[in-house]
Order: sequence, then structure tokens, then C-alpha cells
Amino acid sequence: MLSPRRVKHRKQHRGNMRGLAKGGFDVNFGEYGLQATTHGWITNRQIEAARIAMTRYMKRGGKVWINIFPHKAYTKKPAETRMGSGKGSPEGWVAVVKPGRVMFELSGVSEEVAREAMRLASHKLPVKCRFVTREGD
Amino acid sequence: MAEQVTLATRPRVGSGKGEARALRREGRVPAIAYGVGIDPTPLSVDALDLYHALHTDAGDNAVLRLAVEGGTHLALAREVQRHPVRRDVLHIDFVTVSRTQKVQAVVPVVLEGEAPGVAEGGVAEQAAFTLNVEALALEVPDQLVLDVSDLGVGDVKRAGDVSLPSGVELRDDPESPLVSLVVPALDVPETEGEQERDAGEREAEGATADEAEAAAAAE
Repeated sequence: MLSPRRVKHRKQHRGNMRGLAKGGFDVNFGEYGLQATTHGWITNRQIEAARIAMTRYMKRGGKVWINIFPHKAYTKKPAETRMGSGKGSPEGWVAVVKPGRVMFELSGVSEEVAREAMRLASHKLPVKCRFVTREGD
Repeated sequence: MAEQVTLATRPRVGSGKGEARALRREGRVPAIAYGVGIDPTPLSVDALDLYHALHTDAGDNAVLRLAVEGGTHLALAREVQRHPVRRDVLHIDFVTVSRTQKVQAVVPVVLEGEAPGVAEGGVAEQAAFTLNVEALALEVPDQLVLDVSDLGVGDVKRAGDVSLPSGVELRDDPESPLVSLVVPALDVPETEGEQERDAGEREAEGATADEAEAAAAAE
């Protein structure tokens, strides 16, 4: 599962997710990509689930690139706790994704296989996605 | 060979994002022309005309005959800024060129032929999809063809292996790999291990839940 090796601060502000992706909106490494069209926090578990869904469908062949990394720690208060008494404890790691971001890339398989693999992967993610190709402009 | 497409332009009067957004609402794309024989000139072009101009066989290397007030210039489209989600063109630079001067261009590489290594279970892994070349603006090829019909498992084709038309020079390192035929690594052991681990976790959770229920019943 993806997570940072070492962080400077254990807890972070939640921040906002306004606007569009500032970079990473092109298919750069593979031939096909899965692009987010809404914003959201994607946990390391979701990234892993999407990767497994893709690689399992492709069986042999194909190469997968993961273009997002869960740099941000999120916290949670224990259940049935009164409000106050400071921030909750770190619970997991998320990647902040904005519309336009190409999250996964694939190559070495046919377009049909790539489409289906990306469709299966998109069901593991909390954002709306679309399939993009290198020559899709 | 690069096609020539005529593109009508209109000069821009204002500047800034307000004027640029107004132009985009009208279905036009803000642009700027600069280069050989022209001072930097802010322009706008029709979005649909631009789409057709950039979707010929020559792709992004189409030679445009740019009709600017007072004359026609040969130009290449460069620095195409696109919307991250809609992918429509937000702004474009037109670099005017001379017929006699060489220009640098990024040309797509197309693989041709069936690699025999594919039948042996190999997968063609393309490291680069484009090559940087230098040629006269009107002689930039639409695409470069790389023959992979002799590619076995473990073989690599490099930039130097691409046959270039006469008058076209390669700007990239000829030793940089373009395509290799590799045997893909199976991902099954990892996923199986994960399945076992997940099953183990579920069992552990189930066991603790059962214990908790039993304790509650005893109370």
C-alpha cells in the first residue's frame, strides 16, 4: 500500500479542492489513461484496489503507471467521542485529486482491454472518471 | 509531408483575461504570432477552423498559411494550451517560419509490422512515442515509421533505427530506446497473497466480533 516513508508533520489541515488540476492532465507514459472529472480524496486503499482490479483483468501483459501518491494524512476521532479535546488521530493517507488529473496509465494492451480494465478500476474510486487516450485531443 | 492550411485571423484590440474570455465565448481562440518577418502580434482565430487545421494528417506540424492584416505568413502551431477537462484550445502560439530555414519539430513514431517475439509471449513496450527532428518547415514528415518485424523477446529498437526521409535530421540521442519487447511479469502471486491476507483479516475481525457477542451474552 502506498504511504509516505517519513513526514514532517503528523496531522495536516484538510485544505480545499477548488479549481482544476494544474498539471498531470496528459497521458505521458502509457497509451491510455483514466482521468478524474470531479475532485476528491483518494485513499491508498482505493488506489491499491484500482490497481489490483486493472492488473487482474489484464492477467498477463500490459504495464500500469500510477500517477497519484497519497501524500496527505487524514485524521478521525474515535466513535462516540464528545466534540473538542483536540484533533483526532491519523487514520490513513489520501491523494488530493482535482478534475483533469490522469490518475492511472496503461500500455501494452489493446484499447478494448484497456477500456474494460479502466472501467473496473473506476468503480473502486470515489471520483467520476473517464477513459482517455494519448491521441484524444 | 506537411500540409498547408489557410487560417484567417483577426487582430486583438484589448488584452488580459477579460478580453480573452469574451473571445472564447464568441467561439474564437486568442493567439499570438511571432517569428520570421513579423513583430509579436496578438490575434484571434476561429475555434472550429483551428480544430480542422490541427487535425490534418500532419497533426500539430501542419504548416499554416496565416492571413494576418497586411500579408500571409507560413506558420507552425506551438505551445497549444488546452483546458484540462474539456481539452479545447485556450490559447495558441503561431511561430512564423521561412521556407529556407530549418525548424525543430516533434514527430510521432508509428510501429509497423508484427514482431515475432509477440507470439512467444512478449509485449512491445514503447518508451517514447515521438522524436525530435530538424527539417525545413515544408519537409517535416507527418510520422516516422519504425519496422518491428524483426523484434524478438529482449530486443530493443533505438531512435537511430528509424529511417528518416532525406533532409530530416534527428535531434534526439540515437541510442535512446524507442521500443523493447519484454515478457510481462505475472501479478498473480501478489494478488493471491493479498487475497489470503484479506481473508485472514476478515477471519480475525469475525473472531473478535464473535468473542464480543459471547461476552455480552454471558453478562
